[in-house]
Amino acid sequence: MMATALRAVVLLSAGIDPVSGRPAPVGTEIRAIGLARALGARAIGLHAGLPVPVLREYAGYGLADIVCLDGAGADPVTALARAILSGGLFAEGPVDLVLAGRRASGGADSGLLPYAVAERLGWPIVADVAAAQRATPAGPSPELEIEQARPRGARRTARVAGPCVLSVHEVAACVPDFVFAQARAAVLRTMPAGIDGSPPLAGGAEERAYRRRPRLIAAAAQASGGRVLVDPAPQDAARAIIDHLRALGVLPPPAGS
Amino acid sequence: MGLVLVCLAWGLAACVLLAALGLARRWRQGRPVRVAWIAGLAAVPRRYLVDVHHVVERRPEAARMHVPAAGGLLGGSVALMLAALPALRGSRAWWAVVAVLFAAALWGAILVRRRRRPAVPSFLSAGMFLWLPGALGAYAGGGLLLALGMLAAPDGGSPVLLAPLLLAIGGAVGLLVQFARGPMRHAFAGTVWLAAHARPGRFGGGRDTALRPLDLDAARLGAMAPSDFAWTALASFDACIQCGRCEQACPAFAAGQRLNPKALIQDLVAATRGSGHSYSGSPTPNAPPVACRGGMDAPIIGAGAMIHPDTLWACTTCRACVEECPMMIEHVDAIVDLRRGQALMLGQVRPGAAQALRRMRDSAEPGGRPLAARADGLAALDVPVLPGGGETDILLWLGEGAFDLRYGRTLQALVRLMRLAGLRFAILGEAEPDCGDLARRLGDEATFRLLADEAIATLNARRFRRIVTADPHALHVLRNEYPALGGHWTVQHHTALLDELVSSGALRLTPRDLPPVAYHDPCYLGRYNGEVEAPRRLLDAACGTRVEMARHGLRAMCCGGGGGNPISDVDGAARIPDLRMAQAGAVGAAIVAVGCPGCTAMLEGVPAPRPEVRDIAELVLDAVVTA
Repeated sequence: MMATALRAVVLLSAGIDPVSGRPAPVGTEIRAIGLARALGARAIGLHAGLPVPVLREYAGYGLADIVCLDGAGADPVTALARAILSGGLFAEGPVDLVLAGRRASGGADSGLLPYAVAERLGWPIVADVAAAQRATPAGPSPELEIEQARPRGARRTARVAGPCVLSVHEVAACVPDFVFAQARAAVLRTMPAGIDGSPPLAGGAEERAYRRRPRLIAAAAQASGGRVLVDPAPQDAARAIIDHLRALGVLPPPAGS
Repeated sequence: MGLVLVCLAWGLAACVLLAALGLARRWRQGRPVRVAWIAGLAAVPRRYLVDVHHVVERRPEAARMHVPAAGGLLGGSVALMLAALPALRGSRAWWAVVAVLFAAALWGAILVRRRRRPAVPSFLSAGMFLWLPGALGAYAGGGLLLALGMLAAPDGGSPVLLAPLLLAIGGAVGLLVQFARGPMRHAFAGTVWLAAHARPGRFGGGRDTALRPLDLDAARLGAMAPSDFAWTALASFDACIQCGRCEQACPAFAAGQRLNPKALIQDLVAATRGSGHSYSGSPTPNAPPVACRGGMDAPIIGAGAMIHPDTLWACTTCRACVEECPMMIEHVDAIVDLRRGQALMLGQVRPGAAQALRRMRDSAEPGGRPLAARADGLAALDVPVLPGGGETDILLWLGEGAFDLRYGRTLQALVRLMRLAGLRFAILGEAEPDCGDLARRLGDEATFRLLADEAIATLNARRFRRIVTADPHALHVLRNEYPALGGHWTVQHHTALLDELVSSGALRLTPRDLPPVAYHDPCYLGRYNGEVEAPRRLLDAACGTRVEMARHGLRAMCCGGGGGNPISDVDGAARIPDLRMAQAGAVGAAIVAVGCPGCTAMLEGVPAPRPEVRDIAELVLDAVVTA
């Protein structure tokens, strides 16, 4: 039996380029589109806000259909959750998967949003996704095998059953090709968000200066101090590097093991 | 017998006409373009006898071959056709003329044969070319014997003449095959292409090198199938006679990268024919095999099509092939058309190029660096920044190279020299975006337009007398390509400015006692803009001895840095700059003078021992006399 294609929603923000401060698509969201494509999902872009030109660029990366929620600015989390649960996005059925970038780029976006949306939806969230594939490619269950990016190049596998939220890490290798013809042909649909009133968080948030915090290093990444090789033979040095990368899980275990 | 001969000539002419119509029908499947036919056709003799000849005569034996071969064949056949008039047919003098013309054609056939004997040179094709002299010789020889027979007996009909008649018929059939399915079509296709050339400005010693703007609203962008090319371009591909001069000039071919301009044009011809082809010249080096499938509306690029994508990205857009092509074919236009199709319609560019293009879209800079950092290399010199609405004499356009600290030294030298000469100048600072050269060469016209529109608006919001830049790529874009988009300024290369200052006495130089200096012409200054004299004058004034590499001036070899080649992950057997530095070493140069940030980076990347790389501005600053 052919697996039915997953129905994925990619959350898009009106990002800005961190270097130039110009409107630009967010790298992690571009990778989220690539992840949806890698999963063979039917994907729709969802943006809480009015259609802005930069959204067309996401279309260039392979998102043919983008929905903008007019009036969502007051409460984007509610607007997004409502749109995702409304059943109005896909004619074929409910949403299986929500993909988002893992952190803000400095525009009107927030790294907290995927968590807030997952909480509102009541769905599990897997953060920092580097790669994903369907656990049972032939079956109907939308269970996913996830590879999470950890510090220092380490990877951790996880399994999650849909519907779920994934936030995509910037190391994900699935950057789709940018096709100008697709960006040009993009359809930006606008739907009413059905939200009114002022943002619930307005005034409630406190702004603090950035402070470096002690790093929380995951157990997986706490590799031992390593070895110091003084003037080793090239073969020994290469072997030591490969062993170290295998210990971190960056390289697969040796063939036949 | 005379009448039979006349009928043969008319029959041959009629068949040639039919075959020509077949070619024209194929070309008409290309994109329609407006052609100034009357002016074009009127210009053909001059374009052929002057411009084409100027290129052909670089190999004198090729020019000497064409006079008897083409002249004798055409002249003899036309003279035979005219013998349809009874008065001429009965005239011994006329048959003598025919005999002389066919004798010339026979001599031409011998010269054609000599080009591939005893061995076919690597740059020439074999295949049908091998029996071309046979067909030409049979037709010319048969015609000569028949004409001599008619000369002996104008009313004659001796059965002895049957043998030369059969020979002439056989030769005529051979020539027809050579015309309809072989290389001889270059005579017709070349004439049409000369009349309808896409860049008429190139003739009469002119220069036209700017890429044409693309209508970004068109349904299909760039060329993905042969029918996407302008029909004139299809004619130009058929005009290729496979002389291999492009392949000898191509830096990518020399480095074993997967491009052979001659094979590329023949692959495009094969793509219009639909199936695998009979190309027998040297292949594209190291190119992975392709399916050799084509068709007027079938994709050209891809392992399952006619041309491997690697071929496309190996081109440095240096125009060396165009400079050498006696049929004035525009290889770079064809490659950029194909790149436009791949980049804009399919997003198929190399990962390195995709990243640079993304950064150009997002940060207006291919390296993704902050625009404010561009002038960091000049921080100590305190160059004024021209604000919007401001006014100055000279606007110094820094270009992408300015982010590189090595090239920063060049810019510092230039700024010091401009200060010494008392010039009033300023930079754009943070307001200078990338000029979009890289995006345009990679075929991403959309990103180019994005950057060009911003750059033009920025420049139009400021007042200045002229723009000076040390980057020939920026020079070409600003001077030659922005005018089509609404940017018109006087743009000068820094060597032209320094030359002006030295010759006007604003800067005084004393030649220093330096080891031999060789000047490496940047493609975008030499071939693209025709500026080869000013840098040499400066070097003569600043350095003791100047030597010339074998390839210099308009025929210089590329450093390998153009056309997005360095960021396109191009495989090759050698590196282009290594070859170029070896050429400099071969003429005993200890210093290679450059005038381009791309050349500086590429040539300095060559491992030692190698000549030192200095920009002309640095050498001039060292030689300047301060009163």
